[in-house]
Amino acid sequence: MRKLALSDEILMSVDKSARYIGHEVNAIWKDLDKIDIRFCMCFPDVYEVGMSHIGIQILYEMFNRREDTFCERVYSPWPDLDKLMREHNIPLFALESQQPIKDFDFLGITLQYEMCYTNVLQILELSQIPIFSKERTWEHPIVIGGGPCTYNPEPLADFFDIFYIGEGETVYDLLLDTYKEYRKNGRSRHDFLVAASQIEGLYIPELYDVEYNDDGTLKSFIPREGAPEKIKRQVVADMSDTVYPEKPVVPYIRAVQDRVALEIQRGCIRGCRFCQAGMIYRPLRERSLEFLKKYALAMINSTGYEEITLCSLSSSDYTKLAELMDFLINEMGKRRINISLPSLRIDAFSLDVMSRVQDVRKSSITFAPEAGTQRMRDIINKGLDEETILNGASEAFKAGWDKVKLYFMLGQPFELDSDVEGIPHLADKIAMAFYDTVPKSERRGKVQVTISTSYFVPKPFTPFQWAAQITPEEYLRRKTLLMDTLKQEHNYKSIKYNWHDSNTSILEGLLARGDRRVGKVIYEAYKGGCLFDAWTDYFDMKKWEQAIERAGIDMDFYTTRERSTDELLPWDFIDTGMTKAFMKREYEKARKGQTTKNCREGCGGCGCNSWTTGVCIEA
Amino acid sequence: MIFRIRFAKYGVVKFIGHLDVMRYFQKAVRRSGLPIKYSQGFNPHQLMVFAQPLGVGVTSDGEYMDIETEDTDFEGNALSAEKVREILGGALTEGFEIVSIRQIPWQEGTKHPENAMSLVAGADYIMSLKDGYTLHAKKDSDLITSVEELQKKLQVFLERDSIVVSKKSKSGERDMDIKPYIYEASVTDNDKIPEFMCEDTVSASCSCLGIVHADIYTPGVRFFFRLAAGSAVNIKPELVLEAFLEFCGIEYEELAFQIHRANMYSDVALRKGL
Ligand code: SF4
Ligand code: SF4
Repeated sequence: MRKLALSDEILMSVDKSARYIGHEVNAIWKDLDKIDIRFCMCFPDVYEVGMSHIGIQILYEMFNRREDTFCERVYSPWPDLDKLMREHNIPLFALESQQPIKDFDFLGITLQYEMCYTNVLQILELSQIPIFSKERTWEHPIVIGGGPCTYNPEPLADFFDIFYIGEGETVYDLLLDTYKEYRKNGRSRHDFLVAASQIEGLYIPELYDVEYNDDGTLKSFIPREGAPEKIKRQVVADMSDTVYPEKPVVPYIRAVQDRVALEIQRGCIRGCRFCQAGMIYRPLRERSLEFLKKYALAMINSTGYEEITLCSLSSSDYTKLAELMDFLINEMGKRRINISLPSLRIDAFSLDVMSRVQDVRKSSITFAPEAGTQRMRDIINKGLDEETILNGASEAFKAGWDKVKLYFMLGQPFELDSDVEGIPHLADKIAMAFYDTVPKSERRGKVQVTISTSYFVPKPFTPFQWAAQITPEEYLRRKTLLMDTLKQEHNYKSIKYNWHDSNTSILEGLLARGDRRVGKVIYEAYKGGCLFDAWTDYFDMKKWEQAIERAGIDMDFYTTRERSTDELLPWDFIDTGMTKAFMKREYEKARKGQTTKNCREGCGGCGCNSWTTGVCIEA
Repeated sequence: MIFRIRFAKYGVVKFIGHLDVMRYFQKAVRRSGLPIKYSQGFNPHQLMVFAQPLGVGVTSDGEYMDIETEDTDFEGNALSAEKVREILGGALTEGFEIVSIRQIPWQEGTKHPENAMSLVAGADYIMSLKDGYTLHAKKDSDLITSVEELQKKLQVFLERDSIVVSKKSKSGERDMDIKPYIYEASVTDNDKIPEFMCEDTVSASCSCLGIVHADIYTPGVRFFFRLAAGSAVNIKPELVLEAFLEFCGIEYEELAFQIHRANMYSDVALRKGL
């Protein structure tokens, strides 16, 4: 047993000290004398959140398969420990060895959502690693960022040495080999970064010069020292011949996802125009049934979890879902393992499956129409019509469900008041369907329909990347309009309305489409005390407003301004495989209310077939 | 079949709370493939009962849990205490260790024997002064320096008519006379274990099961207590030590002592383990 980095006194005085002790079931340990590369993988949020992320577990497995590399983990210390570490000058440490991260070769930080950016700076500062990349030397680890937020890494450009664009399973080996060689030969850190820039998928921000026009837009983005003009996103070609953990690390304390996660496929065929995930993970690639069966059993046996969940963007599109479910229901039933299902498209098949694995009386069914009218659903290319929703709901009511959750977004491009009013109308029709299908004698009370709205944030690499985000005032107005309309619905007593906070969404808008200058806001916000911004209890809009002012940033320029489709965008240097022409075409079609077929009905010509894999080459 | 498992918890896992320890064992049982029985109902749970929660930060050589299993393993071989030890022991990670297992005699269909939780009546504790701490006098008190003196004081303390402390509970604080619930107490500054804690016969170089995972600290001062435990009356050792040090005019610091639970008893007078 290793000595802990924190004293008993500290561990006894912080909340949930088990977050910091490592030694979990399946955690890996290696002889430090026998390895060349020490890699620390970081999820910049609290342990329970970070431990729930399957991506980290995949990379942990992948790195540790290398004999010369020891990959460890670190998560954000909660504010109580943060304070003590600063007071006692304790450097942030990795969970496995409990040793300071500043002595590692690499610190890899996964960037899953914008509101964790201040936590990134906390990780660096507590590790006693200079916050700014340009101040680092060979004395410090190479700080590398990955994950969905790297599709516009620019706001974080000053803080990272390297960004890995795309799926982690592909070129890390090459990077580590290059690193070893450059260290062995005594080459400089800069030389190493230049060499790394030659590896496909790696973006080294310091090798690019950025200039701006007088109106604040980007003028040029020019590589130096042979760095490529375009960074090609990395894609796993064969999802059934790639690394996946057989023995995921099992936390002692309850994680947000306290279960085995089985990623059945990556990507999505649907092409909803607002959806970044649906665009950046193209093309849809399924894992084979054999692969999934093998890993499902291996992970259940090695972890002892009592639940397994399927994960993917749109599980109903997995072609062998019926067979997979039969297998799981049978095998997991024997072992008394619960199966939790991600949101499935509601139809006869999914209702049957759901009723076999969960308690109908307790669970709810979920629809994500994202918009209240057919006009608006056509604009966003959400291939879900009212009839399908109402039929699905009626079927579910017949089968015993009486709770329905509905997810919508307010503020998508071209939205009219009538579209907002369509949301409660739709909810009302669903409630009506309940009272029409379920006779009074069989009801357990009122139907519960819950509407949730979020505030739309335009994201890079979507057809809406040029669109204006609505102002917080406008969001609140539409929210009120929705609420007022709701009160007049016939069944309004059966309908509940939750809405998402407007402050975090407008900031998310700033960070999602910001350029390098926005890094200053993140720095100022962090220095001003912002941390754990994804946590309502810690989020402080005042501090962010002050930071924006200190940084001299015009919020509207980044959020509510509609960009011309000719504008050079900060993330244009990334080649995701999807063409700009496709995105422009989709934006135009949205304006006209025209839909595009999903990948299985007919290729929309997005450009991702250049990867020659997945749905693009399905027979 | 019912098995009563005595286990140790030590090292870094002392920071894992009781609910998480329960979840840990549930997972360990599933990993091990032990044919545990499940309750009926929509959400069946494993038939597993823990004797008594252990506080966060406390180590132990004397934790108990009962598990109810099928009569045979998945290959049809009859289960035995040894077999359970082998199966489950293999699934435990560092810091959790099976000390002993015994089968509780029970004929299925007859009345269920009392479980470990309802049997607990007393427990032994060691409280060791940790590195970097000393016993120091409160203002206006003389410092007691030698352990002999402390031991004498302890006798006086225990012989008082009553030992009233304020005990925190869910419904607030209340005064309570804990004297009847302190069965034994002793202090040493060498590696000797007091007689009452020896599991077999008294010997100077005792290697009792109860102290195997009790960490040793440089100051050497260790207090030993046997106290009432269980659902009726449960006396925490820190409560007793605080009262005693208060009585001696010595400052009580919560973090100065490592608490270790050595064992638990169903009958304290008879020194009957669970
Ligand atoms: S169905 Fe639409 S919203 Fe869902 S992941 Fe696919 S593209 Fe995105
Ligand atoms: S190329 Fe066609 S099939 Fe492939 S992801 Fe793009 S739209 Fe879908």
